[in-house]
Amino acid sequence: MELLELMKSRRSIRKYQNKEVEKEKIQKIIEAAIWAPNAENDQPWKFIVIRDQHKMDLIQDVSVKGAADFFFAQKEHLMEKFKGLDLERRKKLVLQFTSGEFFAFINTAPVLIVVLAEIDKTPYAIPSASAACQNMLLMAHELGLGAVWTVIGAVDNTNREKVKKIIGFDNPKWDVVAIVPLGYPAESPSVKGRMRKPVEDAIDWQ
Amino acid sequence: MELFEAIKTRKSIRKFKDKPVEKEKIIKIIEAATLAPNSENKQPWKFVVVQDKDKKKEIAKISILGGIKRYTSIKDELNEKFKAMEDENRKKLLDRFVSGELFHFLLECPVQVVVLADNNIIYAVHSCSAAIQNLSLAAHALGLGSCWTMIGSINSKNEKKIRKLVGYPEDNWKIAGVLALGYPDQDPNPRKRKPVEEVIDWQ
Repeated sequence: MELLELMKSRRSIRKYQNKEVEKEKIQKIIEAAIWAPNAENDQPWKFIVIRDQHKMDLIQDVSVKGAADFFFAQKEHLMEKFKGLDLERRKKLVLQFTSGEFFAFINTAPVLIVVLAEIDKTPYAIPSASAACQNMLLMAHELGLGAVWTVIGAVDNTNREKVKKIIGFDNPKWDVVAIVPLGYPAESPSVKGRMRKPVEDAIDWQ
Repeated sequence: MELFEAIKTRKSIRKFKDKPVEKEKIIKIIEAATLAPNSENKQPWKFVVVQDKDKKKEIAKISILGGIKRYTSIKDELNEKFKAMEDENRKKLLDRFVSGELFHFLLECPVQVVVLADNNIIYAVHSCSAAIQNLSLAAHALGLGSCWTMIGSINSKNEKKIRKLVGYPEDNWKIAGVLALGYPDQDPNPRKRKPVEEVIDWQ
């Protein structure tokens, strides 16, 4: 697909087919990731590819609880955000956030990739690993796969430490940049639904 | 351009033609940037497009001085890093780092883009980094070259100086990068990466 078209049509995918992802495709996606720019060619990243269901369940548990804590604290704000909806729907939606239900899908993907940044190596580790993660998402889309960059389970440091422990990287060298479920999409959210402010709002000409 | 080709052939460009960049192209690549994923669609970014000569020069100066400071302080580590090179080349390269010469291209590029992350929103720097990657790929696909620098912003005093220069002194803003942008006037050597298997851990 042409590059800009690909960027435009990429959506976050949260429902997956019950179908394995080929190892070659996973490798290709991560190969795309490692060509991201990184300062001084330190390549400060690691990609943990998880297919072990038990580990996925543990990470899901951290994510759901992390999301519940995070969104419960801003419940009022969420009610305000969705004020255009009728009360019943609004309450239901807010509950999906504050219960962490929105992140329950994480262990339903056939693959979970945890992106780690090697933060003791360079002050640029997190930006570089984030750029790599974006390459990964674009490549997944190009290969007909769906993915979503989640960080909610990693919002606070305690949760990130838990995730690191689950994958055996319990070491201050590393930080969790993204938890990315990956699989063949079982949903196709409309591209129109992906609203962005007009580009001129994001630009400041000087 | 196809994605993988764009990803693989994109290189940091540090030498530019003396040719302005069309406004439509700048808009197009920033539009690509804004398509990056970001938490709750809060779009926590601002792209300051700097073409004013004096402002560009000031930003470049801060970056060059930041480079001198950083690389003087880690000179030994750099020397170790380049140890595979012949003495003469290694000295030359080290000198480019330590003298700040490595960042002179920020003086000469036709456009600088200062990417600001709104830290009131969680994971803003992550989102902006993903946006910068989209921007770099889109620029490459349109025949432009770019280089993402953070040398002026890793030191918080310098970072604030740049923000003040472009009119964002409020501390919720954080610079995610200063990008040089223009038509490339060089074709750098291919980049090197570790074999992909070394960065994957199958579990």
